[in-house]
Amino acid sequence: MSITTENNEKMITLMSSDGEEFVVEEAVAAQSQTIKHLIEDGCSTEGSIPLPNVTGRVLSEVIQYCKKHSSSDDKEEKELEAWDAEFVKAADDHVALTDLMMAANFLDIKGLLDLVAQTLANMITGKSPEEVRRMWNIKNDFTPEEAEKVRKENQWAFE
Amino acid sequence: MEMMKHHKTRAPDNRLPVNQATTTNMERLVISAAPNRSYLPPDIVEEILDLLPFKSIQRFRSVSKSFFSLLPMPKLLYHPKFSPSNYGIKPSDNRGLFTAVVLSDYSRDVKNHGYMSPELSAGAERLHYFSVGSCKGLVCLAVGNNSKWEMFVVWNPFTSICRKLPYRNCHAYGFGYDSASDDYKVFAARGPLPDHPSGDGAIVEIFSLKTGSWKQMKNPGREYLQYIQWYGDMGLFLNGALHWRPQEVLGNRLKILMTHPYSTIKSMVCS
Repeated sequence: MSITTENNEKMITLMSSDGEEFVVEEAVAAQSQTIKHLIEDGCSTEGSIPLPNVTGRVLSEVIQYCKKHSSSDDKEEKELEAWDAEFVKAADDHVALTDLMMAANFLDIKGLLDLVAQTLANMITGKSPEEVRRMWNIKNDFTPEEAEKVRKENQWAFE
Repeated sequence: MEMMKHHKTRAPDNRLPVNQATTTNMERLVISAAPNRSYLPPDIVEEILDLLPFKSIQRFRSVSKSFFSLLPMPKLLYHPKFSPSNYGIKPSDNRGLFTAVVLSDYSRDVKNHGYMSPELSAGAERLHYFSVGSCKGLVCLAVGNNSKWEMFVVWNPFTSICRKLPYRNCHAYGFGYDSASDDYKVFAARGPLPDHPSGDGAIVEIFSLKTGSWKQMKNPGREYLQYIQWYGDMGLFLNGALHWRPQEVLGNRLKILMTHPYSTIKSMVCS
């Protein structure tokens, strides 16, 4: 479904995995390489573009980011950096950030992917393996023998 | 607890909801069936790990098998992020075995010295060594004791990771990077027999860090081997190839190309 606004901006409708629809300017949606290719392939002419991997909650955040970054070509880089910092801060915790990162990965939005990856990396830099496991419910699947082997290898290689 | 956080919504200032009521119901459904957070796709993990400092990466190898498999020792040994440009090395007389000096890296702040693994540096005062070469962030040394050379050691001074390789008793050595196979290689050549100057008896062997083994070069270009200055001559790695100074032909240089899987030796005339 293509709608045009008064400014003659072509509008695109995106549908999240949970059926929520978002109407955005094409230039905003095209920040995502995945969507850009779908538009080029003519997928936007028949109704909305379905994004089966992204929930409405995450998609609304992604759209915020894309709006800001598509409209700020001539703005100060510093201002955009400050906005980015606020943006990831508002994403609140590592679970929300992980969702955002997976969406950025699927939608192929490099700037957002780098931004969120760096935020998560900063978050875990000083953490212990146990803390990292807890953050993402990762199971420690090493047998005691394997764990000992890893420990020894690390010791040999890193000290 | 995480479910609760997940449910928290931010002020949707920019979105244009079309079917608010339906969406909310569906959203609730989806949230109640929220996927298990334990699934972190490997490409996502990799993306994050790539941004971490080395100390964190080494620690996170023990998180789980999937983290471990993303951070294998060879990858850590060659990781471009942790292999900053060219090193020169000199013996370090008091604290460890060697000091690596960064010859050319103006782009970032890197530590300019490193020490080998404790296993190697423990007997530092007894060790003998010679430098085989350095390229793309790694250093290759031959290490031995008073009576014999024992091994080659490929060392990343930035991370202190080393790898020991079986030694080859040869006359000329080189250490280089083969971009065709994305592999570091150690070159060891034994010259022709004294009374066979045409090249008979010459052997060239290449150690691939990827395969972890020595292989004899099938067609080393024996006619050129006699010109290499044997006995401890180290090839210089430049522009993707190892170079040796010829013994006799003045004004010329021999270029030794390393190509996958076996190298060929060619001469290159320099004006």
